[in-house]
This record gives sequence, C-alpha cells and structure tokens, in this order.
Amino acid sequence: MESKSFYINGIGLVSPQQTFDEHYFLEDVVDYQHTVLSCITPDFKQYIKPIQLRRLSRIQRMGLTAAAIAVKGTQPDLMLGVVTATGEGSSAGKGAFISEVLLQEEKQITPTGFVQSSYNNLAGLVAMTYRMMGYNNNFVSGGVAFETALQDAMLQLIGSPSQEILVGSYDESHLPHLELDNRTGHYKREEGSSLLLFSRLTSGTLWGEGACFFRLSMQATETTWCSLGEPLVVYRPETLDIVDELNSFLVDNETDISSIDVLVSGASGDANADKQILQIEHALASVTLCRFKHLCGEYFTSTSFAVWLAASLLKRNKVPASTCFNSVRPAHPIKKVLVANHYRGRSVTFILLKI
Amino acid sequence: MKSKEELVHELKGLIIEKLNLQDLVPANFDGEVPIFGEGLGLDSIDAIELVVLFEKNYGIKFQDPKDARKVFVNLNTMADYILEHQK
Repeated sequence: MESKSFYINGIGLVSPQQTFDEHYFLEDVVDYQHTVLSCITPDFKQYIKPIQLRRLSRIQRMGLTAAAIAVKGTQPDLMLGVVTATGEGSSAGKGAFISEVLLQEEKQITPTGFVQSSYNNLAGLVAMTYRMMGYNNNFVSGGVAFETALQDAMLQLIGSPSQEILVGSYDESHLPHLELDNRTGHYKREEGSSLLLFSRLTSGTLWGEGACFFRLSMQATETTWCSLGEPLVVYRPETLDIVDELNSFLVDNETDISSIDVLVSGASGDANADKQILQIEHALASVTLCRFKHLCGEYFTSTSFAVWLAASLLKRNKVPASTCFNSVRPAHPIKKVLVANHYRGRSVTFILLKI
Repeated sequence: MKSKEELVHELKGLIIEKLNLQDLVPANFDGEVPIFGEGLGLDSIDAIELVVLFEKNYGIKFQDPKDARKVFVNLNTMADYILEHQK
C-alpha cells in the first residue's frame, strides 16, 4: 500500500478500566487480584434502546456501546461502512448456543442464541443500528484480526477518501476457554495483583477482554485525535531480527528511533512470549516506555487498546503514571508514539501515531 | 391439567423470562394486551422464539404458520390454544 495519511476522529473503548468515560484517562486504575480481567461496563441504557438491549449479549452490548461513543455527534448513516475484528468471536454466545444444540439434539433452536453466536453479529448490529448500509466486513484472524481489519478499512478509505469508516474489535474472556488455555500455560495459575504483573516471576499472563471502535478518515477534522499510519505485522518474529524490522518500518514511515517520543509496548509479563517485545523496549531505552497489559490483560485484539492509549497520549499530551515503566521524561508536546504489540509472541505489530 | 388462569400466569412469566422483557413489560400486562404491535412491541424474531417456547414447554408444533399468527395475539388466545391442543 502506498503511504497515505489516516486520521482517528473518534474512539469508543469498553475495557477492564473505566475507559468508556471520555474524561477518564487511567488515573485511578483497577487492581485485579485474579487471572481474568473483565470489562467495566457503563449503564447500557444510556447508549442502547431498551427494546434493542434485551436481545443483546454482554459482548454485543459492550461493542455497540463502544461504537455509540465513537460515532457520537456524527451522522453514521453517511459513513462508508463498518469493519470489525475478533479473535474468537462471541465466546459465551457460541458456548451457550452449542450447549443448546447438544442438549436439545439439534431441535428447537432459538434464533437469538444463533445470532449471538455468530462471528459477524457485531458488524451487522452496528450497521443496522446506525443504518450504515455500505461496506460491512468482519475478520476472524486470531492475534492479527484487528490489524487486518484496520488494513481493510484503510484500503476502503483510499477508494472513498472523502468519507469516514468505522473499524472496531471485540473479544471476551470466557471461563471454559480459560480452563482449556490454562493447560497450555498461556495464563497465570496463581492469584496476584494485576498491577504487579511485570514483577511476578511466574510464566503466563492475564486474560483480558475489550470492545473498541475507531472512526477513521483521510481528512483531519475538528474532532481528530491524531494521525494513524498503516500497521506492519511481522509474522514469526523469532525467525527475524526484530530490531531490523522495526528500523525498516520506521524508514518506511520517514522517521527513526530518535524521533519517537513514547513507546506503547505490548509486553505481557510472560517471559516466553515477550522476547521480541523486550528487544524492542531495549532498542528504545531512551524513549518513554508505556505498558498496558496489566490494565486490560492479553486478548486477541489488544492492539486496539494500545492504539487507544497511543491516541490518548497524543490527544491529552500526558502520560498516566499507571502506564509508565521507565524514568525517561516524556517529550512536551508528545508528537510521535510507536505501538509495538504482540499476541503470544506469534507476531509483532508496529503502528505509528502522530500529531 | 392447568386452568386457563394458571396458564395465563405461567405464559406471562415464561414470555418475560425468555424474551428478556423484565424492564419493558407494562404493569397491566394481562390476558388481553396484544403481544405484537402497540402492545408489548414484539417482533418477528420473538415470534420464532414463541414457536420454540410452545414446542419445548407444551409439546405443541405449528404445522401451518397461519395458525401461529392467530394464536399469538394475546395471553388469552395462547392459553386457549394450549388447552385445546396440549397432548
């Protein structure tokens, strides 16, 4: 893709911190004492009509709320479309629906259970709610789902540069899945403070969840938070020199390490998965370091939380103490933020955000 | 065999629970309140849920969708149909 400028004009995020509140920026963060970090949810009735609310699952409510915050004050029906991303879809909805199918021997299956179990339900729900009759797509591609959706949204914008598009992600923590994944050692088995995630010496990380929507365009507006570059996904980073990959990404974005003001690192507290991210942190040792997975946990589409954090740093020109993990004082104003995230070490994502 | 009043009471509870109407049901949701349109405001997805509810809870299968339309008018018509057709 030829290098283009994209802008974030609105964001809605429901996460294990109180991020749905536009005045909140990780000042008083919640310290979880267990492995699963669940979203703090708003009063959904403020965002969703009661008649619609009754048929929505928890993750659908969170997703639609995030979309409602992102499109607030706009005319969503004029938007180009909506693209969503998820690693595993509505895990609880799928579990409930499959249980129903098994218990009732594939008879008397209710439509609501089926709808709540489908991967593309949120993209459809947002489109129908806001009468967005244009482009509609959903990506279910594990730890790179959000990055893929972002690339698709950007490609769509290049075809219609005067419009805005909504791109979002959702994944939920689901206890039966946790029991399975615990066997693989991906998550911590012991209880402990989430805020002390990076001090704990055991393997594994925390299980998180979140729903997030971004309103993107190719034109800056009065509500623009920052500009957003195209993401680069480095697959199987252990086979490459990740710092070389980072440097060539920065060259492609016409910048270098010395110009970066803040690094938003996707370190997860799991030494086995964090090898490449720790190399990147080391290469950017002179840059203010922010981490976020002690606040939202690890999940397939956690890059969306990282992009929200990076955009918020630029918009507010402030680094919350809860995210700061070295003693390098942040530049004033903050102009360039690099997101470097990974999912279980299988791939590393780079995204550059600027004002 | 349940009486019609008992059935109406049971149906009311089942409909509120299965269709998540806890916050929406008016205080006067009685036997004559229409369940579609201006009454409870249910829609076509709810109609399918009701068909499943009838089959699952009362063993009643609708062979002809037109029958369901006549039955799903209000709680009284539903209770009458169950009394007539329950095995």
